[in-house]
Amino acid sequence: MATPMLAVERLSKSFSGFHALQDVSLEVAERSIVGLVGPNGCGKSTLFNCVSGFLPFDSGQVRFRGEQIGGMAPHRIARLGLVRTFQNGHATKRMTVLENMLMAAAGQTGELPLQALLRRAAIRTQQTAQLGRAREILETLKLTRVANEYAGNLSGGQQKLLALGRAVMCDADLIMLDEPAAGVNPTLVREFVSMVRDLRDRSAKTFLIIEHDMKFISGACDHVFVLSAGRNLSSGTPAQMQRDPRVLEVYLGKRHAAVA
Amino acid sequence: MTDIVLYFATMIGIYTIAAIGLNFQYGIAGLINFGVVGFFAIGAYTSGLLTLAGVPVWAGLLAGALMAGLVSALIALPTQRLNVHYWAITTVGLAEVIRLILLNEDWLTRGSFGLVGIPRPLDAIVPAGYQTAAFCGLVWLLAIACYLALRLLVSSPFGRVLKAVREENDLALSLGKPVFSIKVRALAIGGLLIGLAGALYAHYLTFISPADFLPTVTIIIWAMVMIGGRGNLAASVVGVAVVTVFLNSTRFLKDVIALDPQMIASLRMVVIGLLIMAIVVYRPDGLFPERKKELADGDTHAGR
Repeated sequence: MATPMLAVERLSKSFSGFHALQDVSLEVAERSIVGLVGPNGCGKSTLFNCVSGFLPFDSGQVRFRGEQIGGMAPHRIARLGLVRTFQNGHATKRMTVLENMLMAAAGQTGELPLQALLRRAAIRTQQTAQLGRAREILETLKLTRVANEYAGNLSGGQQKLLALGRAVMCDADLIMLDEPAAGVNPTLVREFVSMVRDLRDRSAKTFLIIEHDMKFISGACDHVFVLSAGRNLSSGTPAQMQRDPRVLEVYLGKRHAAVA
Repeated sequence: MTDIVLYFATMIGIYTIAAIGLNFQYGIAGLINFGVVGFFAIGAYTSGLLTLAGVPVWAGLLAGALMAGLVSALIALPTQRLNVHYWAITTVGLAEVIRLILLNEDWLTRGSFGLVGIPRPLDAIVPAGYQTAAFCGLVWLLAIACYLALRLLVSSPFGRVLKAVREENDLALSLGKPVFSIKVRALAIGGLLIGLAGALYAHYLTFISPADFLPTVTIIIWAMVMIGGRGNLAASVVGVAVVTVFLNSTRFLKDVIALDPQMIASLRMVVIGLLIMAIVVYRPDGLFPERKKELADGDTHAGR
């Protein structure tokens, strides 16, 4: 079997005695869409933070395309092609959608001040190319109309789309979405699902998605990992998970699970 | 009359350089530097001491700016784990430490006596009678050059990353931007300008002492930036003009208001404080807030 794109092995993290994650393992194959579900407080976001370098962890291993990335700084991990989004969307109040997109582009000339002053011609050519690319991405995300609006003025759903757009602009190969459907209307959720699948099919992107919305999970994901109280509970296809008694138990409680 | 106009024009030019330096740090990069006067003092003393020792004035100005920029970058290293507000407090302390060093290390700085007879540039080549005007011209030339350079930076990829750091630090990190080294660079660039302003101040007044570099200077430059508009570099000049004219108005007010001149002088700072509060409450983005940057297709005029 090929090396998985992302492999998390026996990852543990505790906060002053509280075990947020205990020996959690998961794998994400290249060009797959993997869901990460579990009740609130089960450690999903902590896992995201540990994998993306925003939080140090106590033990275990994280490999991206076979390379150890545990302990690396978050911006270095992002440059390898693993980009995560945030639950709250991280709206930039005083930057427009297009400015966001251009900012996100990877490996730009002129990100350092001296280059920015001296390599004007190269930056101009680069900006023309970036604008074209940004507009293409915004078109597929249906954000063209708001391209020159401040990102902070967008709706919650549009901000989630922008976060996805930034990750694509940043040349991410593995995109980790933290609750993309939270607070988003059902029509937009369906569109979001098809955008994610399109990105996988046409642009060879891989996804790891935290989500509570079961419609999103069953519509988008090939495989699902379920966490409970900081541990692996179960994994399988979305359909299998919806029938798994252990999963039903943590979501609905023991008695209801028996009835279901 | 010409004298007073030239005085105002020169001081406004000098403070404009410092204010756009601070506005770059605070308005664009979101770094709250409450130690402005420290870097101003470093620029002033570096250039003052060097030129008194015989170094040409242009080299002194350059060294003053570079030294302030260097110290700005260096303070980032031990303070990189502090969050925004604790970092701001640290910068207040840093500026006081710098002033106390200037006051106490008298083998180098002549302590409270200060530096006397700092040479003015251009005096040797400009005929008598035109020297203050020539100095004013030099100040404004430098101010415009600094402004244009900062504008180029703001509209470049570097500027966009700075704004992202200002808005959401973690967002910039998550997209692969080396946030810490970007902040160090923004601090250094702002410090460079504040130091240059300090050096020009020293050469303009020809006499400086630690008493010129009290924390009130920081507050005054902050008031200038806040009144003008955070993130709007050109607007800083408006804030600088308003505050400079106001601060010097006591000379005239003493004929109008029947108060002891010393009391009027103290009341000025009270008014500056009230002005800052009014701005924060009623116009938090200043009189002329940062303008939205709309990018159109084929917009190849990056930086114009």
